[in-house]
Amino acid sequence: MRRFVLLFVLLTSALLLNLAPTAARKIRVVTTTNDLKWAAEQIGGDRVEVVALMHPLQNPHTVQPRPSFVVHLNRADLLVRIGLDYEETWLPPLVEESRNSKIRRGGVGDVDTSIGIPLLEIPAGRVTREQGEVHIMGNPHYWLDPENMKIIARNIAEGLKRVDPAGSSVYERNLRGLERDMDELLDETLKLAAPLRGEKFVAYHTTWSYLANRYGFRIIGFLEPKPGIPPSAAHLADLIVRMRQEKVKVILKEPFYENRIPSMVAQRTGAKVVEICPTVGGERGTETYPKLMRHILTKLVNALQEAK
Amino acid sequence: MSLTPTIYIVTVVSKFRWRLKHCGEGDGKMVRWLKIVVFASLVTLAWGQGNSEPSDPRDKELQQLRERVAALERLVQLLKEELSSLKLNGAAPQSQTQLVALQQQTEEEKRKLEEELKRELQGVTQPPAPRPAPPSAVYGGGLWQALNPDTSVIANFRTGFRGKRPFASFAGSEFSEAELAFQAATDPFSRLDTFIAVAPEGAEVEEATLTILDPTFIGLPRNLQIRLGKLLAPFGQLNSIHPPEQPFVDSPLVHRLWFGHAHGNHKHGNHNHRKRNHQDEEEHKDEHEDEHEEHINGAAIPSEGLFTGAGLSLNWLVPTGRHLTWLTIAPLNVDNATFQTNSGRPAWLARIRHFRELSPTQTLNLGLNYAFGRNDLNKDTRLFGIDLTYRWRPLREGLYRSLVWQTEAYWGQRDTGDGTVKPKGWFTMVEYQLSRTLFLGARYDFAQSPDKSFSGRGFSLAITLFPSEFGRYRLQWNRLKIGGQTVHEVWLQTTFSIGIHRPHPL
Ligand SMILES: [Zn+2]
Repeated sequence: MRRFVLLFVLLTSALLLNLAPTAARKIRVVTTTNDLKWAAEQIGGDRVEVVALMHPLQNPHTVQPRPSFVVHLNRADLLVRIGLDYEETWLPPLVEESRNSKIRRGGVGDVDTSIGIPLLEIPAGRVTREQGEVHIMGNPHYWLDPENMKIIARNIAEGLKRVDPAGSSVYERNLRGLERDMDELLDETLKLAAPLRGEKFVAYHTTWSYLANRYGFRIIGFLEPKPGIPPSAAHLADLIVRMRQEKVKVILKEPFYENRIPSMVAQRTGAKVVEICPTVGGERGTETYPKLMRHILTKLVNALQEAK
Repeated sequence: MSLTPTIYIVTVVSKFRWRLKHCGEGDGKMVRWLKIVVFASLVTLAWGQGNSEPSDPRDKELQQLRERVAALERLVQLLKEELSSLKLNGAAPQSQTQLVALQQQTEEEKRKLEEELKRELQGVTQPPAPRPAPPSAVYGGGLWQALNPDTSVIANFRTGFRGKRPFASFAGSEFSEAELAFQAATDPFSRLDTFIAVAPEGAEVEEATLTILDPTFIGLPRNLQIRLGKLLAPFGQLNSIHPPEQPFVDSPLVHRLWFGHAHGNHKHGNHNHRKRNHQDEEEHKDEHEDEHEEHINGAAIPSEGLFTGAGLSLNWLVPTGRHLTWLTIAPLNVDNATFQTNSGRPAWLARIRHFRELSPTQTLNLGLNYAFGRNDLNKDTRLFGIDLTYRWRPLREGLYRSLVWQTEAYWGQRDTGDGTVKPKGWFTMVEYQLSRTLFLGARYDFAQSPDKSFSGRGFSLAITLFPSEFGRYRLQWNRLKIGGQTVHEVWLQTTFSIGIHRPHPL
């Protein structure tokens, strides 16, 4: 009996030691997207090693889980996710399968970066699937706004402080640095995006709502009738009429959506299709978040000038 | 508005028509009336936009509707103009939901300002407020709903036609069932999953599992997962999926023959059914022969076969580099055509599953399966199984293209007391995604019955349309050859789900 007690104590102490990572080892951060990876690296600096699960060109709404996802989650100290229903179709079963209770929802290593974000497109009243297949909790594509990036970074810093209290001062300092950078980036990009003010666009999916909100342009319609529902002829006809009336000259499209329907609409409206990847690292010259923001806005300004 | 004069004129005209019948010809009154008629019809024509029979009540209604639509159109235009002038002044809200969000933003701003002023008044500078709470609207149904289990209902309607030649002398058969799923974490350490299949024949618990998520809580290694209750048996890859979510209307023959219930011709409510069968045997001894014939021609073997059992499962995750390996051992009480363990000795199942990443777009899943237990003769039965699943989904076109190829082969060793019967069964099926909503499936399968008294082989083609993730239509054609008889089947299936359904793990 005494031997059993000893064994139990040894086992539990080993587990407890395992739970509190020592300073020698880097904090293992797993993020779902590349944008969150960039933010986690800014805040964590040398103290962390970060892996992103999704490929930047991958459609975030249809992710095929791979065994390496489970391996990364199994070893993670911190899981940083977009939250809302962004990863809902694939992440929860993987987190469960990872057998890592730290990163389970509400766990010490779980970071939902949507906390504190002023959300757009929250359905009013009762939520039903009539409103579409995805995004019934509000629009989760919120990172394309430097103000929101500050909130994302703050959430990550809080999470890192929870799993690695020894690094608190470092994370705080890095957070303040990032906040300054974002303020500068906002000033710079607002100037860059000045020609976009008041302009009207059409997009494939609700990826650009926060960008539009920040830089003062409007997305007057979507190729998808509702988020996650494939375009129908009736809806497209409606949209084309509106585009003609409102003289919309540019259609925004993510690389993971097909080209046929955008060009069909473009043909009938004389609009130009611009393909933009909304994620860090999806296109050449977008390896960091500031580069991504400049890249997207420059592309939009150019497209608008060409169309006119 | 403009409706009133039209109605008035219509009334005048109908009055006149009535009068005309009651007046003599050449009457002076007649001339006066005629004048009114000419005037009225002219006006009516002008109002009614060339409508030749304005007195017809249906046309009248149509006319009224037209007027109303025109009025509404004007109103919409007016509102549009008003809205766009508003938008020019404001920050360009696009919809009702954005207006709500904007309102929340201003609320937020107000709150921030209030806090700022408070701090200034106190003369104390504090660090910025940490993590404001998310707006409660995010949770949709309110906070109390967050504690409810994820509840979903999958309604599954199937209509089948069966005949000896394709598209000729088909006998219809219908089937529908609903699957109720309740899934929730019971506490931070465990979760409960319940799946109840409800069919006209009765309800059956397909799965009711308590999963211990955090075994460290009871001092066990972290990578060990313990499941208790009625489980999907860890035997093959397809068996980890509930029938309504499988890629074909019916299960492969080997599942139907080996894992369907031994005596009933339907997996649901099998106990009642078995009793009924015994009664039938006594009452209609002559008909029994025919029933047996039917049993072999494919119409009476269950269309679904799911290997389930009550007991315990221990699953250990072995992360090996980029790849994963699971080891599962499960003692289960089983009651199907292969195992009957009511005697108290459970069937023992073991499965090794290796999940490999071939590239960022391709994965390969290999499983080795073993089961040992008692059969209906209370003698030993052993099963061996191998399964291989290949999956492909491109990164960029992942919404529009994918492929799953799944093959499973089983061998049995059934002790009958005076020898060993060794039945075999296998299936291979491929599902290719043609577009965002359209999938094409093909399956070839072969199986011998557990007692090897007959065998069957089948070829199936299925077209599946997913208008959204929550609805599905499927058309399937089967060419089955069971017990020497060829049967053609056409199935039409519609499946709808409501509520939150947890996505399938890996
Ligand atoms: Zn989306």
